[in-house]
Amino acid sequence: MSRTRAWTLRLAGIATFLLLWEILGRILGEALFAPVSAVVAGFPATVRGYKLFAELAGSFRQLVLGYFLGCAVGVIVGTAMGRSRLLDGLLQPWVSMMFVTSVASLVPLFIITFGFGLAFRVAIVFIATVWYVLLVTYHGARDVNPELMQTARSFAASRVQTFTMVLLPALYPYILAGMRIGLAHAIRAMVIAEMYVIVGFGGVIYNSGVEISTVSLLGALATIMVVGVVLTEALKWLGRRTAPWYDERQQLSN
Amino acid sequence: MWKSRSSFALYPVSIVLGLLAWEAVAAFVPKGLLAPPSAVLGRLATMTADGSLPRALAGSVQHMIVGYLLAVAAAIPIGILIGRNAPVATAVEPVLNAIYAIPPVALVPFFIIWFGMYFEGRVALVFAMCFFEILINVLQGARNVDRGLVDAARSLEASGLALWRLVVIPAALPFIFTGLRVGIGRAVNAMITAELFFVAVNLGQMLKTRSNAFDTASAFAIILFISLFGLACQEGMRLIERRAIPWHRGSET
Amino acid sequence: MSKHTMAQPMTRRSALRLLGGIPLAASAGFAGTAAAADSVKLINLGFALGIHCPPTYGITDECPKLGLQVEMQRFQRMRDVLQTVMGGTGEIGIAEPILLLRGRQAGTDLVIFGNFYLHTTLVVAVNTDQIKTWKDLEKPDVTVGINSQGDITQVMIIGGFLKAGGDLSKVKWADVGGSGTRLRALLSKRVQATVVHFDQVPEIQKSGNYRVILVPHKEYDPWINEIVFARGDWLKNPANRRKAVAFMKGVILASRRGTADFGYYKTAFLKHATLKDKETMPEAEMQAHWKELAHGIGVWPADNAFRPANLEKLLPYYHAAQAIEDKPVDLKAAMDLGIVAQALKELG
Repeated sequence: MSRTRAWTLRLAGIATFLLLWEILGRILGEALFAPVSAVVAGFPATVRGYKLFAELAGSFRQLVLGYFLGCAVGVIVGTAMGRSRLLDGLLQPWVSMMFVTSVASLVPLFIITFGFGLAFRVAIVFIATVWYVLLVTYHGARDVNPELMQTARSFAASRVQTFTMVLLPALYPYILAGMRIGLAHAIRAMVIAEMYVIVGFGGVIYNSGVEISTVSLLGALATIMVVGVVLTEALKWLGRRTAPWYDERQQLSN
Repeated sequence: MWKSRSSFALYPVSIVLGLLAWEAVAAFVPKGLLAPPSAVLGRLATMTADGSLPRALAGSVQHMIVGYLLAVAAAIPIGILIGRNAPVATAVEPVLNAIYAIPPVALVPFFIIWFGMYFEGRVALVFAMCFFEILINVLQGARNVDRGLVDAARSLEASGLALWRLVVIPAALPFIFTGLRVGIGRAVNAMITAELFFVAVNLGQMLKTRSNAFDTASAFAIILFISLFGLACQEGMRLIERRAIPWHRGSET
Repeated sequence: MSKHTMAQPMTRRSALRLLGGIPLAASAGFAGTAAAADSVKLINLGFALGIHCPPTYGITDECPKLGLQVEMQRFQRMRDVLQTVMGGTGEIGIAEPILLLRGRQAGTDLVIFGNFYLHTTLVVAVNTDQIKTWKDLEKPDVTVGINSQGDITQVMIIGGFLKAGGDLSKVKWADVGGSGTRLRALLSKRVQATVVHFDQVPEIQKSGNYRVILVPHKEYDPWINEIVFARGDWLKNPANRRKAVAFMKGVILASRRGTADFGYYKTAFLKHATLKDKETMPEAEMQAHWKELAHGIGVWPADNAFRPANLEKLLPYYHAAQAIEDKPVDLKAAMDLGIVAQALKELG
């Protein structure tokens, strides 16, 4: 697909979305669901009044730290669990149970352990991200073609070599899926943690929710949406750089 | 061949070890914050025996099932469409990634307006909380169908429906099932979240009342009950997966 | 939004104490303890409206002059405020009295030692299309929106309702959450009655037929919305008592100045309000609010109005709302009157 065509399609999709938003907003009104035109018009005031971008930048640090920590641990433990019956049996019940527990209920315990500074916010992002990366990687790890592993053995590959040169590439699509899901949860966890301790960007969302008009609240949410898209694209770019031999688009048939 | 049943046998060991660790930690923390497993398990037993937990679960599970099934029904066709059709994928992905970044709980005020504070609102939240996870896995699965397989099938003059039925769907099924399993975990989480953020009923109401009474032992018992339920759901999904795609097995080195 | 230094060294110490030395993730940079001044960790509630600003200013600007540095952290949920103080990560907390008293009944030793401010700017608003009198709350198609069961928003409504002879068993309550969500639930007709802030009322009235049917400072005498508390054992320590006294002195000083001087209120408002439009608010509007708060309602009493009798009067409503257990409440144990008394003595 040519670049122009790709961008035309993207813009078409976004334009449809914005149109729907505008219509819904006009029907419901600013107090209930401001139309995108109002949100855009009010955005400068929102940015000024809540120091939007400063708070966003401040929130970024724990997002990055917690997310990459979660991905690293998730990939390693997920692969290990997928390949080892013992580990699977030992860890599976707790992973499955932690997975369905809401991050919110852990907040008080985390506050005692980590205080309410950076460590706490990194921990919340970590704990929200890790399960998704872990579970999806685990599924992929169980799945690995036994012939691949035989081949690695016949070449006397060390454990590390097997991991990096056989397992990881085979797991690549799973890790990608896990990281994409994990990223969304990392962003959400960042916001949720901050809505609880009312700081940073989550604090902006909380405070703007008190206003009568939804212009600021939707402005803040829209910013998070843009952040989500930008980060997902960055993730894809990173994926293409680290594994150029794997091009998703090659797999598509028309 | 990996006997999943034997890894299952380790579950009790794991749980016991975890409980011991928990008991140790709880000794240091004030009771109003973290109750020890002994107290929690006691409350769990009592509340299960007297029927209050099972009854509440029966109520809570309704919006969970409806929301989950709706999410599955939407995510599978859309995921496959996006995964196999490049133009649609390009057009739709920016918007999907954008919406996915918003914490559903930030949308609760809007759900209240659009769907109300009761059953419909809860279903909407459950849907919102598991749709994307299922979608992304299905999408990944649909994308990953080996080009070689598709070409081979085409050369045998398979086309349209047959191509789908015999090549695409079976290849994508492992991913779809991963999505279903992750999705049901999310749905269980959403089940209780919905009852905490909308009008509290069933399990959510029990949890709130016990929390407000500072009865942490009961509150943790409820959370543990929900976690065990979530564990059961995910294991159930694994069983279904084994039946549906028996030719797909994990193997051990 | 104003930022306050995060609590670091105390956290690690208390965490180590609590968890027996489990290694912690390193937190980037921690505030060194200030050289000469005492310091205390305050856990506060969510946002700051006009009513909160002078006392908050008292904490951030008057207390340091009295030798007390306050590190403040805001929380969204009241439960988190209480739990954080219970767990020792915070030393002083600001919260509403009901959940705290409930906690005391359950055995937690949290003690109230002062008022943060008096009364409230919250009011009960109804949709007059369906609700003309209090009794109309009993109608089957009417839902009343509150923050959460058993909290100040529910008690506030119940008081007025019971006085009008209503039957509580017929009322449908809905936990809607924060004031923004409650407001939107009212406007979208999901609820027909709820609690909102008095400055939101003119806006609401532009969208339909709404009326205020209860104003707390007229209905209750007085209404207690936010109190200052700490752990009982923390308060027993003389050094901590001195900190608590300094804290209340800051609050009371700011209360007096905020009531007397609009300029002081304005400074406090501009520094602490978590409102988007505070910089662009016209002075006349700000002054009108201040007048209502300081003189119309009287929310910053010169003597802090911290008396057992005031809470005593509200207890029947807490019981009626089943916000606290059906047992008697020992207010003497729940309230430490000595701190405010000492603060008033030192201030003269």
